[in-house]
Formats: sequence, structure tokens, C-alpha cells
Amino acid sequence: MKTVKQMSLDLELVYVSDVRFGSETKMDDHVLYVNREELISVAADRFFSSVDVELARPGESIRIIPVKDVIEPRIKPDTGDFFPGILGGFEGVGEGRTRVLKGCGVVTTGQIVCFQEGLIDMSGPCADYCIYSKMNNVVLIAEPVEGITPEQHEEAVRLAGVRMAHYLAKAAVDVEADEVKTYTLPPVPPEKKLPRLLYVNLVLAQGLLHDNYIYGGDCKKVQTALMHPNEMMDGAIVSGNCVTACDKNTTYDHENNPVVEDMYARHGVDLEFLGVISSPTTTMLAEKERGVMAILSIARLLNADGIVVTEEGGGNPEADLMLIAEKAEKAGIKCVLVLHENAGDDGASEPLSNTSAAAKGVVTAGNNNEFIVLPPMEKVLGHLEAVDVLAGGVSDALRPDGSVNVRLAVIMDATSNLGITKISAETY
Amino acid sequence: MKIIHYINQFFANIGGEEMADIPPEVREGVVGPGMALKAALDGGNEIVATVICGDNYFVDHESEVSDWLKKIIGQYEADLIIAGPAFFAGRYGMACGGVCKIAYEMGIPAVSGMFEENPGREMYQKYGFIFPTDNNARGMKKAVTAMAGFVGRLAAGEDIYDYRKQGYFRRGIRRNIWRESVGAHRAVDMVLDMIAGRPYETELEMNTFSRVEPSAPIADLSAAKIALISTCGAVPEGNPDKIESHAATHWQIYHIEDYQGPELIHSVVAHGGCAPTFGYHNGNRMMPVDAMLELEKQGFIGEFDKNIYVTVGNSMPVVRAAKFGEEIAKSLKESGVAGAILTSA
Repeated sequence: MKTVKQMSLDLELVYVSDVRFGSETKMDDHVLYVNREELISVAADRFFSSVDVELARPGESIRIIPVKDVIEPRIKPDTGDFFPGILGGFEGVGEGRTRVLKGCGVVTTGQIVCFQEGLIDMSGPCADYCIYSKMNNVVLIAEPVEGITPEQHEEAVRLAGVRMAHYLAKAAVDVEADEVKTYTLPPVPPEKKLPRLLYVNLVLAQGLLHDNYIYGGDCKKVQTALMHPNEMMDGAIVSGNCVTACDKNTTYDHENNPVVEDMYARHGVDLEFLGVISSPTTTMLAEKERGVMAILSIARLLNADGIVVTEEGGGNPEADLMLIAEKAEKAGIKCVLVLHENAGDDGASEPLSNTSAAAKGVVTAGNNNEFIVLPPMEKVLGHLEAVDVLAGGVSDALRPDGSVNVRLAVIMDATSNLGITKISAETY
Repeated sequence: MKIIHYINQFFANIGGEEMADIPPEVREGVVGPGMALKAALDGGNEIVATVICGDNYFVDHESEVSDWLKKIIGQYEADLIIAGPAFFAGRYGMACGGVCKIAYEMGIPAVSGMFEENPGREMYQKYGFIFPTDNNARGMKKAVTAMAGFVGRLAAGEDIYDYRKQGYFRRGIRRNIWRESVGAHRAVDMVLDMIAGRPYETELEMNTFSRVEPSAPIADLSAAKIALISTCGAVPEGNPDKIESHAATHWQIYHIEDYQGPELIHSVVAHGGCAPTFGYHNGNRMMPVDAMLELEKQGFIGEFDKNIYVTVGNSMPVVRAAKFGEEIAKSLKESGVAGAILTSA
């Protein structure tokens, strides 16, 4: 039996240039055809009173609201599995082959707690801030049956989303991949003396629907853990999060984490990528301290020279960031925090609620309080009236002509703490 | 651009200290240092009127002058205000800063000039583009050249937000921009620079917060009226005053009866940073009205104020929170409250 020590994962990318309804769910010449009835039956759940699926393509005059999550369709072609611990098993996670429908997203919607769902416009100024505006999206619109709790509603939408993504990815198993990207971390020869870096991925685990799932496990109950970055690419982390739209990390973001991507690209070139620490962010101080202790313990064990830490959510998790910066400084480990700001509508307020002199390296994804006017869209998928109560909306956000005057906070990933886009802020 | 120029009694050649109490007046065209400004400004930018006010009058009647000046600015359809330069004149600096603030509130840019140690500079630099000057009027030409040059660049639509390049005092305002690479790449670059000991620039300097001195303990709680303040956003059903779920713009007083009595069953939660449904129809889960009433019953406190102060603390800018604090404190004092308990979501 051939043994392989290093994990190696081939992402087999199948580019999706368009999505259409058809009699059969299949990929044909970069067009994803979707059998609507079949997909509806995949999404069906006893907690839904109605289920529908719509399509939203880049450039169309479509507003999707309120958006809960976005998921990139992926599948392990050799086992037929994906989303280990939720839909699939653990065989081959992080290695072998993974099929990816590149340029396609499953967008789930629903008025779960409403405030914490977001907005995606498929055209107009939103597209400058939102990566999902540029994707061919398959949108779930499901109404909950009466009398269920928001927790039951959230779970039903979350699971429907991953089932839909898995179902769509199956259509790409037999077509030829457009591009194959291999992800492996061969040891860096010591004589190259490259800086040893760890990525610290803070994952919100605050309870009350501010939750994520690692291998299907509720993050509130998981410990800080060292992971191979390939595990994230293979669907280890699924978002169950209903926190402010601009700063929650979607399942798509975990599958395509930009810090992982950047460190991978530079592994053996100007750094040595040691791995990912995923650590839950809870609201309790003792648990924050436990997480910070564990992060630094792993970093020191691996003899890391530096860490990049990304926040999820805002406000409360800033305490975790500052504690990490302080402990890292004490341990002589260089630390960069990636976060967003709440600097007020005019940018004149304190950007963070928690600060520390130890936070010497900060990358900001901008001030999410800044206002933007989004013009009316011809078609609305979901509930437009929700815009008034979204976190980042104001009571008169919806104007008579259908345009909305909102803070960036309502746009999915607009000021993403993962540093997905080029947005930032500066002081003048 | 149509410009209004603000100067004091001294630079209008009306008089010195003895004339510092004159009320504001407006004159067409330029007066005093306005002439040098006019000469330095580009053709398209014109001082349409000059406002003159005594320094003491401005400081003593700020809200009255503010209302008046806003009317004048509207009347002349001014696009920009120039105040001063004030050099090291303290009260003039305060007035010029106050004028910058008035323009800021109207969404109009303001340009001024002050000596670095002028108290108006630090207090008001957020509100306008204030240029450093000498400490006396002998530096007029230099100041006017800097200010007028900047007005020209601003009017031409140039990018004027690099304070180092433009030369004005850093205003301390955050503004969203697009950088050359994505945040993740910048973060990896930055940590590598830090490890290698190369120069790097953080994208956000850490702010420091002002500290609030705790007041002295209440001598006799059993005689004290105690209020409840909550940032949890537990509001009467329907959220009648539409308190926003995020970065709320106002606070409200709700009487216990607005929630249909102490059970707070007529309650929903406007807070957008938590799962709010636990507080629906049971506001006591969000703010301890039941416990306060129990303490009142036991005589542990003299009286529980049945008017509850409510807002949403989610993503609240600190400046606005401080303003709410001042307003609420004033209201508490007026209603004879001796102490308050503040709870969050």
C-alpha cells in the first residue's frame, strides 16, 4: 500500500458562466442547468410551509433580501460526500479531489431574526462591495411553518443550503474540469529561513443564533483547534450565523478563505504556512481567556514567528482580538489583526469598542456605518420591507421609489473581517 | 464656489477687546483679510459675503449665532466657509472652530487657519480643514496662501484627504477607501514586515477612551429613587419610536404601563446584535424591572422610577453614546433620580 504523509488536495474547478432552469440538472458548456422541481424537493423540510428556488445572475436588476448564508457547491467525487459531519463522512477530507462549481453560489434567505440577515444586489453600486453580486446564484426562498422557533428555522435553512450546494455540485462530477489547483504544504527547507506563520480564524460562537459548526459540531462546544487549511476547503466549517451581514463569514468564505489562499500562494516563497487555528469566540471572559491561551500555546509549540488573526462579528469579539495581541506580544510573536470599524455615520467616532496598545498591526476592512444609496431593483427575491429592520438599516431606509438608504452593514460581506476585498479606511 | 468668509471685530477693523461684544452682521463681498484671500483664490471661487462677529458675542451666544449663520449660509447658497485665520487668538480660534462646526452640521466644508497651540484647534479640528499658521498676523500671507490653495484644489474636485500632503491638521475622521490589494494579502504583508523589522504602517491606530469618574456612593439607598437604563432595546410592541437595530440614533423613555405593566408582556426587542426573541412578550428577560420592583417592595431602595430609559447599544458609535449619556443624565436629574442601573443586551 502506498502511503502519503503530506496531505494534498486537488480543487477541480468547473467554471459556471450562467445558470438556467432545465429539465435535467447538469453542466453543459459552462452553463449550470437546474431542474427546479428536483432542487425544491432537495430543499424541502418539515419546517418549511413553502419552498421555491430562483436564479440571480450578475448584472440582473435583482435584490435578494434578507440573505442568511452563501454556499459554494462542492463535492468529493470519489465518495460523493461533502460537508463532513453534516452531510458526509470524514474519509478523504482535505486530500484527494474536490469538485468546485466556481462562480456559483447557493444563497439562502429567510426572516429568521431578520436584523442579522443581509442584502445582495445583482447590479448597481452594491456589486462594488459584494463578491456575491458577481456570481451566478441559486436562491432558496422558503417560508417557515407557523409556531417554530427561530432556532428551528435557522437549522432548516442552514441544512437546506448545504443539501442544495451538494446536489448542484453532483452535476459537475463527470464534466471536464477547467482548472486544477493543487494544495499541499511540503516542508520548507530550514536553510531558507522563511518566517513561520499561522492563521488564526476566530469563529463566532456566542449562542443565540450567532453560531457556527465545525464538522457539524456546535462551535460553542468545541475547543480551539489546529487544522490543516485543506479541511476548510473541504467544508469543515459551516456558518449558522445570524450576525450583522457585513461582518459574518459565510460558508462560502470558509471554503474560499482569502488568508488561507494568500498564505498558500506564498508558502515556500516568502513564508512557511504552518496551518490554521480555528478558535471559538464566546461572550464569556473565562472562555475568551481559555481560547487565547490555547491559540498562543499552539503558536508557541509550532514555533510560529507571526500570526494573522481574523475577527468574526464586531464589538464583543474585539476583546478576543486585543487579548490575543497582548499575549502574542508577550510571547514575542508578531500579530496582525484583521477587522472592521464602527466609526459612526460620519467616521468621527471611535472605530473600536475595545483597544490595546499591543495591537500594533491592524488591517481594516472599513467603516460599516458609512451610508450608501442602493437604487431600486426591478425584481426582489425575498422581503424588501425587511430593509428597515436589518442591522445597518434605518427606520426610513426604504424610499418610495424602492431605493434604499442603508449603512454598508446590510450588504453581505461588505466589510468582511477576512479581508476579501480591497476596501479599507484611513484617517484624514 | 460661493464662499462666506467669517472674521472677528478686530480683523474687520471695528475695534479690539472693547468691541468684542458686537453681534454678528453680514456684508457683501470682502472685508479685511478677505482682500488677501480674494487675491489668492482662483477665478471660479468667490467670497460672496463676509460675516463679522465679536469674539465674546460668539462664545456667549453660540446657539443664537449658529441659527443665524445657518440662515445666512442658506441665503447666499454658500458652498464653502472660510473662517479666520485666527493665529494664536484664543477666543477668535474658538469662534472660527465654532463656525467650522456649524458648516459641518450643514454638510458644507470649512477651511480655517490657526496656530497649533490655539485651543480652538484641538477642540474643533474634526469639523474643518484647519491649516497651521504663525502665532500672529504677520503670518497672514503664508496662511492665506495655504488656505486659498487648498480651496482651489477642493473646488477642482482633487483628492484632498491626505492631510500630510495637503498640510491641514489631522481631523481624526475615518473614511472608507479602496487599497491596491485585498485585506488578507495586506495582513500577510504586514506581519512579514513586522517579523523582518521592516517599516510598516498600521491601518488603524488604537484610539484611547476618556474615563468616567464614578460618582460618590448613595448615602441612603432606602430613601433614593433609582432608575433603570437599558441598551438592550426592549421596546413596546410595534417599536413605536422605531429605535434602529444597529447604531441607533435616539433613546426613549417608556413607562412600565407602555409594556402593559410589570410583567412587560407587551414587549419586543429592537436590538440587532443578539437573538431577540427571548425578550418577546417578557421584557424582564432583557431588563430587570421585576427585580427593581422587588427591591422597592422590600424597601431596599426608596423608589423605582417607572420610566425606563431605553435604546439599542448594538454598534453604537462612542460619540453618540456619550451624547445619549449626557441627555439621559439631565433627564434623570430633572426627575429627582439619585442613582441608575444600566444594563446591556
